[in-house]
Amino acid sequence: MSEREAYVGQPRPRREDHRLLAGLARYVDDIKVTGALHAAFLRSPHGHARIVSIDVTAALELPGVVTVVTGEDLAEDVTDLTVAPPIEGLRPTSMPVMPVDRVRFQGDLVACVVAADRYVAEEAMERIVVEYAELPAVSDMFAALRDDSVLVDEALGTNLVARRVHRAGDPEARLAAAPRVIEAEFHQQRQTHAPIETRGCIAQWDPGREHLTLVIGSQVPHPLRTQIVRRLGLRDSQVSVSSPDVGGSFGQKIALYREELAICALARRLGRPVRWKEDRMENLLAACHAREQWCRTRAAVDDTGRILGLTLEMVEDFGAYCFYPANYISEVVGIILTAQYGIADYGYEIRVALTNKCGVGPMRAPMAMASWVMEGTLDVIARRLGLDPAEVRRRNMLADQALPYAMPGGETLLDVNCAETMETALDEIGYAAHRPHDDGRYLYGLGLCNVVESTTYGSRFYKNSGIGGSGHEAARIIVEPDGTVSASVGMAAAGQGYETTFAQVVADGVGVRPDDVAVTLGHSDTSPYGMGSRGGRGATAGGGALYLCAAEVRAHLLRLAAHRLGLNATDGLGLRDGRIVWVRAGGSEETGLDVADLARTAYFDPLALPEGMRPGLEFYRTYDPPPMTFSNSTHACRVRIARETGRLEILDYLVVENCGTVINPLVVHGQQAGAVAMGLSGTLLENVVYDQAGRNLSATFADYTIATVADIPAIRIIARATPSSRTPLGLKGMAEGGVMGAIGAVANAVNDALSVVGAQVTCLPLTPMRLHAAIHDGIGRAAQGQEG
Amino acid sequence: MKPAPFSYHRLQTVAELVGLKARLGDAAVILAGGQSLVPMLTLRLSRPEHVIDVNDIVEMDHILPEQDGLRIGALVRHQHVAESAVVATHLPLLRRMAGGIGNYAVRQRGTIGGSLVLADPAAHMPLAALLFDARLVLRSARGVRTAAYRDLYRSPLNCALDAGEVVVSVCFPRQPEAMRAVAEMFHVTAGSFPALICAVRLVADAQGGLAGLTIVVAAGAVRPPVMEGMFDDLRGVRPDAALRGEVVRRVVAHMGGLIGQDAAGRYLLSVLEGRMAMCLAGAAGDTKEGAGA
Repeated sequence: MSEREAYVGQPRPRREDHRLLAGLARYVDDIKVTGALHAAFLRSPHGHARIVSIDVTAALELPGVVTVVTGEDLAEDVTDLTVAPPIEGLRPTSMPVMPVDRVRFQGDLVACVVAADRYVAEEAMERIVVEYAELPAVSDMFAALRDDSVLVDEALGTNLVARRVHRAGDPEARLAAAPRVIEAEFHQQRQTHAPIETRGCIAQWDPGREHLTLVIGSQVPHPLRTQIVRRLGLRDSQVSVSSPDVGGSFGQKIALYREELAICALARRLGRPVRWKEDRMENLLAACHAREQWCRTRAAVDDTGRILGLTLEMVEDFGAYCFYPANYISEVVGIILTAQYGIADYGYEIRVALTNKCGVGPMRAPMAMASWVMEGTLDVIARRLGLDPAEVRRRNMLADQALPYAMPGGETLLDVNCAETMETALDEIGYAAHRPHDDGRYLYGLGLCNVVESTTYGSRFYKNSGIGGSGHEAARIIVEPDGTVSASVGMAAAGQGYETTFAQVVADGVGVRPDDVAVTLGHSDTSPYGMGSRGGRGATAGGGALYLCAAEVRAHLLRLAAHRLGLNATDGLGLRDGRIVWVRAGGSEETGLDVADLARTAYFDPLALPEGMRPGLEFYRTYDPPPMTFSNSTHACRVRIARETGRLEILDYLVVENCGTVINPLVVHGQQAGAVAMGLSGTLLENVVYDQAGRNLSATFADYTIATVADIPAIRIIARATPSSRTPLGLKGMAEGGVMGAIGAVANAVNDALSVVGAQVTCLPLTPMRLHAAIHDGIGRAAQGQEG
Repeated sequence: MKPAPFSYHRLQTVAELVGLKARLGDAAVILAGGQSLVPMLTLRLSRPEHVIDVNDIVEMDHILPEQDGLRIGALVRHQHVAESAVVATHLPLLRRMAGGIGNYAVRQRGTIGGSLVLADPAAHMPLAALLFDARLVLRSARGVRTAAYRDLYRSPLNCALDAGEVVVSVCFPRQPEAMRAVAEMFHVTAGSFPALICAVRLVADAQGGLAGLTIVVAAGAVRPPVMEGMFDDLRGVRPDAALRGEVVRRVVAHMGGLIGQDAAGRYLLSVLEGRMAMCLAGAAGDTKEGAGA
């Protein structure tokens, strides 16, 4: 065991699991607050309507009702949310905490009842009389972009909330001059995060200290606090955000939503604690949706399948309100689309539409579609030219010596081994022996999806892309007087295993045992201000900041130890499992000192410290990761589709992944399998459906179908990791690539199988009915791969 | 998602239940496993004044082999049916169908009586009761009567009990030696309601010809039809591939008239065609054809 990295890499069981599995975790609803009032929101039954009047008299008369407020009432207490970063092509948007005169989607807020309990609140809600004047709704993003469309946000004068164009080289010229132009289309359906724990919060206002405490399951306690103080006209010091255990987030718990803000405002107004728990129907109707995107690629190719130029057209449905800059999600698809393929001439045009549907946000792998679109395009090229799909990939893939490579989307690709993961996957899946075929009962196909996963975004990325924001993270480590190491970052856990992995990183950085490291997360008062949990940044940004901070702790402790041992320098001293040792060739020798001894000195005997060393042992360190770190992987699967039912079976599924240094293989495996499962569920089943009037037809789990463990096949995961050259410990990050790869691998396998009967599918989800239609009715036949 | 206010009653005996039901009439609903009622209450689709919780009435929780068939108490959980050795002996198909309901947690709560009274058109238990021509034992302040489930199940979500009646048990008639019953359940995801169930009950005569054929199909949102008389002309014929093909044609044509020919309807009919053939092969003892079941 080397002195460093003794614990990083070990498959240590997750320390948080005991409380999570034994029912000892504390989620928002487990936290009792004496005297708390319960809120419930009255929501619009219409997709689009003008609010003519709201009569709350009868609701207020119900015993137990404390107050009923409308958008007009709350407007005095809360400023509007304006999303207007200086991004070319992005129109600024603004929204109040609750709509005042118009509702824009089914589930939009109309009024809030605060009562003694939720039962009374819901009873009161039924007594509110709202007169609506229904307006025509637009629930289709393509219709929304037509000139004659109904306007979702009249202040904008258009539904085109963002249009972004990027060009590297001259793709149009390449398309015009190319021997062949091959077009492919991809349509991903609207989905939602469906965390086990829905949204919810408890707000308490302390009128004496003029201080707000918000308990909320959040991925980003500090950025959330910033939002709250801005909207409520408070100062940072007046708000504490505490995120307890969180039952899943997947991107749904980043934004400050209107409901939570209203609860804060009501707690302040009433001077009493107010709590709100979203029910499942509210969560499916009105929390946050994701992924509804359409893409068309046009590839200029030669007869060998080499891509000479590529353009991407993309349309995204952003729903009725912008909680994020509207280019934020689709832009990343544009930036990383070309992945590990050498395409110099590339351009994208992205259009983002507002519609009368729930607003959208990032969902685990917001850029998930990129891999399917790129890899699906390569498959279409191969089919059109009668070439082997793997060979077409090889012909376009960057050679290892071409790295680092300036991607045409603007980022720099490096530290990836895409050829190695693909060749390994081809061997493991039995690619050489595979031919799509039909045995009369089933169609058989094999799908490949190479993934380049953008994991950690540094501040430079945000600056370069014009998306705005910071990508740094902050760590704080305190060596307590008894020698315990308390570590914290600005991230909030929702099941990722942070407490285990961060303890391993800190243990190695300082030179103590993981069991001596306490990891505390999720409280804005006790954690340093960080950017929180999103994307795949946990390991690199959070782990990286902690590791760098821990190295400072170690250096400080060794200086103190040297002084205690009467030495002038720390040469030859080491810290191992909390003990100060002499590092010798082939072993170490005890000095008799340990971290607890040093801590006692630092806190209780400051005069024994070396000259210039201040008492106490608290350390703070920030870290800004590289603009973008990349993990890479290849997903491969074999499927069969029953001719009779259209049902898809996954016969073999494997991932060959390079996610850099692995802190804890158990945790990484869990994340990889979970991401693939989420990707499969989205590819095969999940679907948020609206009718033309903007009514949501999928607001219960009977209608919004999610795969269960019984629907997910065994997933083989094969590691081919290489460390990052630019981050502490060689960390890269992971946990989203599985979603990206699953979509592409399964969709490509399905189209491989369907090629036997001359059919193709371009729309998700790949339900039995859709596949059955493709096989028997020729729907989608020849729709893919037209030569332009 | 909180129910509208109601009064809650928790009873210990059938006698108490019948008395209270007589007093409260339609203002009261019965809470057994709650797998359908509780969501209906919380969605406020059901707004009863009274909810009568029958989960303590142990006298309705029994599975008894009787002279003329199998009696199952209304409070018997689906999981109990799925694990019951008695059911396995007398009606193996019923056991298999119970095991196909929802998931373990649902099966541990949902009851046979609740399922039959709810009469969800996609559910397993109503289909089994239709197939085997089960009779419900109904009690009210007026006394006890039995009635064929086929007569009570009028339309989806409409099991026509008389005022003040409660189901105390269900009787599945004893089946002849030469009876084979096979069902195919088509689920899109594990644990969801099946998109399609088709079930066949075939009785052979001494020469191996058809003595009786009953087919019930749950598909679309219609009350599962019991198809029996439409096969009368086939009596005595051996259920070979040709005959089975004819039966499949009749069933698909009949269902086509009921569930419509839109994209979803056409899909279901297409799946039905294959599943039906599989079921019939299984029921006819043609293991080669039925192997994929």
